[in-house]
Amino acid sequence: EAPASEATDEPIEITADRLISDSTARTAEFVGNVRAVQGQTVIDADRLKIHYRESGGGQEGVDTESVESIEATGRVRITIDNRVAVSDKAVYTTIDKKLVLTGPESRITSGKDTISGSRITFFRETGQLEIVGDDGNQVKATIHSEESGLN
Amino acid sequence: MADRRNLFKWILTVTAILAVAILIAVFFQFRRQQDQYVVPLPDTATRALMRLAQLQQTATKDGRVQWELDAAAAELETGSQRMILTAPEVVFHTEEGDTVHLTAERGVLNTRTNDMEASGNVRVRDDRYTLETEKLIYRHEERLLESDVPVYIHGGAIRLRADTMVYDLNTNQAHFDGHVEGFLYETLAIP
Repeated sequence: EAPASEATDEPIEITADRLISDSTARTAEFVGNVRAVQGQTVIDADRLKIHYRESGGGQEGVDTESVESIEATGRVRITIDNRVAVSDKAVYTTIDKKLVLTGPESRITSGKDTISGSRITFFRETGQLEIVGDDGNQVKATIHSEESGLN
Repeated sequence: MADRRNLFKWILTVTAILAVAILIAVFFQFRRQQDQYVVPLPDTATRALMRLAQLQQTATKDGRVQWELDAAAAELETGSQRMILTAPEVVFHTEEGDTVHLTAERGVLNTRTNDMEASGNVRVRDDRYTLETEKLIYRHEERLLESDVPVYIHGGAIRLRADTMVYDLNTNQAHFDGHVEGFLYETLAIP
């Protein structure tokens, strides 16, 4: 199993039915049966939109623009090693390496452990996990003592 | 005396008739030779009205340049509005003042509609991406670049392929359809 750091050097492999690229808005949106894979991370969604910023070099001598954020919407399912995150929407921002899942059904499952809320945030730099509920959708957690936990 | 004059007149008349007859015979002989030996026109001449060594053409609308075309050679086909282009290079100007560069081995320009077809090693480049395909059509009225054969895109953080493409020069948007597959060079690792 490739360790996470090595995995991050690999490019994200993307497949979809369609791609809409907008040079003016600096976006590229994949539509229909979208799957993005990088190492042990797999994102499945109906739509995946990539927002670019102007400056900054990418990897492999890619020219002067790079990805600012990636937004997945519609039946979002993110598989990371043995954990599965499910939500209506997920936004990953490269500047702070943060992934935010939103939607009433946002949930993370790891083995038999589950936690859900209306907003789940992964902080990749610190490895922290923040779950927020709201009136109709409080944070709920089911933790089995012998399991390794969610992060 | 009168006899001699009559004789002279008769001789003159016969001579004149003979001269005319000879002239007519020579004329018809020459015409028959002409028909037998038809000067072969060069093949291109029979097909092309005009052949240009180096073509440069610009299309403008409301005073704005829409595209500039250079071609190593061009042949205007007889009786049609098709100009066959060798090694065309086209610079399209978008509404926002960006440019999109197209190069190909061959091309056809419709001189009435300004539509174009490009084929053979077709490359389309803007400031972010380079697209490669084998066949591409430019619809002048709608300002669309279309390809119904596989296209390959690279540049920016993306390397992709798709079955077909439509690029709208008015909105600067490109739609790629069918088996979109490729790579995005960015880190996505999540804790």
